[in-house]
Amino acid sequence: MNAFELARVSLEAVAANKLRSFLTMLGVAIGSLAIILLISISLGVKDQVSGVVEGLGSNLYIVLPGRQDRRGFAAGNRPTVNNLKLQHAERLQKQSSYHLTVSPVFNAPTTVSYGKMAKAGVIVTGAIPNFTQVRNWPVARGSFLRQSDIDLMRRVVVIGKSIETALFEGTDVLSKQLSIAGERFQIIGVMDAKGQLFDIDMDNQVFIPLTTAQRVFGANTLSMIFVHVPRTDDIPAAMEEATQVLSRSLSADEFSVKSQGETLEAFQAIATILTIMLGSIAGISLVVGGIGIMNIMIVSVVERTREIGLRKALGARDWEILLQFLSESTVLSLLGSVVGIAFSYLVALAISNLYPTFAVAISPFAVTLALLFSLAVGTFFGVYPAFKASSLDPIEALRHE
Amino acid sequence: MVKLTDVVKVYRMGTVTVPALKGVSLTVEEGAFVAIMGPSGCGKSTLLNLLGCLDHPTSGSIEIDGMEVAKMGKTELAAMRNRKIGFIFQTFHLLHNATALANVMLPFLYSDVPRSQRKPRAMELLRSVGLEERAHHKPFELSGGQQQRVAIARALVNQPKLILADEPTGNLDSRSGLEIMALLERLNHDGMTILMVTHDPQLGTHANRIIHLKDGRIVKEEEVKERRHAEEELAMLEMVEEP
Repeated sequence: MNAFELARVSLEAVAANKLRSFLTMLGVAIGSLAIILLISISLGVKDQVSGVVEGLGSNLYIVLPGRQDRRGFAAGNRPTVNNLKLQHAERLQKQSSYHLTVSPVFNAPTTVSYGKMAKAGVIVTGAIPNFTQVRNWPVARGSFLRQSDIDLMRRVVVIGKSIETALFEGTDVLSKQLSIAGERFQIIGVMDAKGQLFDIDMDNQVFIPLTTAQRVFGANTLSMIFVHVPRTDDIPAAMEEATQVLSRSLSADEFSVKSQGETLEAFQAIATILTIMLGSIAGISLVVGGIGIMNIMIVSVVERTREIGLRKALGARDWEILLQFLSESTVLSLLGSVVGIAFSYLVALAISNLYPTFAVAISPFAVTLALLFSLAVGTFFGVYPAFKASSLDPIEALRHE
Repeated sequence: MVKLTDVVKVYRMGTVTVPALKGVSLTVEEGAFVAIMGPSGCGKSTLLNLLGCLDHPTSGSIEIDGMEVAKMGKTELAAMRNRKIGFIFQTFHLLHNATALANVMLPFLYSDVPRSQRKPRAMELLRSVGLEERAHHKPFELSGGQQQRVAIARALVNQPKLILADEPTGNLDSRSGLEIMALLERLNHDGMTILMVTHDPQLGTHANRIIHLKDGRIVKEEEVKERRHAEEELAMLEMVEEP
């Protein structure tokens, strides 16, 4: 019996009992579907998060107020007092030996309006001119804030793409007046679209001069300082230097220096754990499917005792019977997996249509994993029934009623 | 062709031992048609299983086509069954999902007959048992007699040296039974060695030799003087039936 004949015999047996075969496959199909979807989704999340973090700009480190551990979470839940001020940013710029570009920002949520239309939950970012190059985020139209806007605390604003879409659809926004926190600002530019991180819309932001923002919101602190380092290799040393410089005027509890790499690593570590965890849960369902196959194969061996006896009488050797039943359970499992794979593409398509911003791309890695795992499960759970079949006594088997 | 010397078979059931064959010696020449008869429990089935290389004797020697099979391993026995022996069962034992042709070709799965010869040989055999037209029908679409003819074609497909028939007409009406017997007679006439187990004395006289078994021993061996011929009986049957 060669591989081709083996496959044919197995497929015939599977086809002989279509409903039963289908129901048996279903367990593996659902298991494969779960593996593929869950792994694809969590890998997608990982990519998306990585993309967003990388989109912050390259060769960047960040100074944040308060103390945060290396993984990017606030240490404990105790509130920290924000003492990070513009002078710290200026000191970094002046005292550094690494040709840094230092870009302090101040963030606050607010409501913006134009005429009768208003949009709540908009992030106001007080920035200085170098923001666009540090964050690698250019303006689409008009211009960004100028140094004179900062110096003179002008009421000018550069708006995010989503604000433009929501309030000014179709009309030219430049030189129109936008009302922010009750004050009127002149629109001088529109930022490039930056995209979304799940529900956080990066383009739902407006940019005004840092000095103006601090005045409007009555604050003299900063939300963070972006620092661009020209050479990647200098980042660790530059961060070390920043810590020393800031330590002269701030206590260790009052600031943290973090690199984009660390943030990325933290996100990726979480995403990897998530992927493994979801994959394992899905794997369990595939194993359950495998047990279903074993169950049916045992029933099938009993039902086909006479057939086994006949095959032996006609000269089948024990290992040929073993292989026949083993290949049958493997074929069942693989067919189930293929059905699951097909369905995962359909489900991915459906999700993409229902939630266009949350596109699920089926990962070839997940498909391969599901296929290999199904193969292993089908074979593993086929061994016992196949062994049972092969060890039947031909005389007894032929006499079986 | 077949030579049994002092064959003993004892079944062990827990602590009890049940002797099924108590020293059977028998020689069957090539081309013989031997009927094995006896009441149930006499050891007919045991003898047939041993001759069919499905089981080992407890002691004694069994030689088939010049090969000693009593001490053969499982794999060698499987090869013997595949190449030297053709089985015909009372209940046909056809695979119900497979066509007549596929059933006839089943033994090829375990042999090394070249692929190109398989289908032509199986079709040729179906033709010789008169079922060429039914090659693509499944067993449930065939009558009992037709099913047994498919089984005979299957038994012959690997060109065996020996046909073992276990009550081949037991599940058939008398007319279909006669047709099967006619087929076996024809095979025998062409030189095939046939061993047939039956409890029907009428059927026994189709053979050229009858061996009577009782309590695990051969009690009588007789040459059949007036052999019955199934072909003739079938012809007579047709004359009676025709008004």
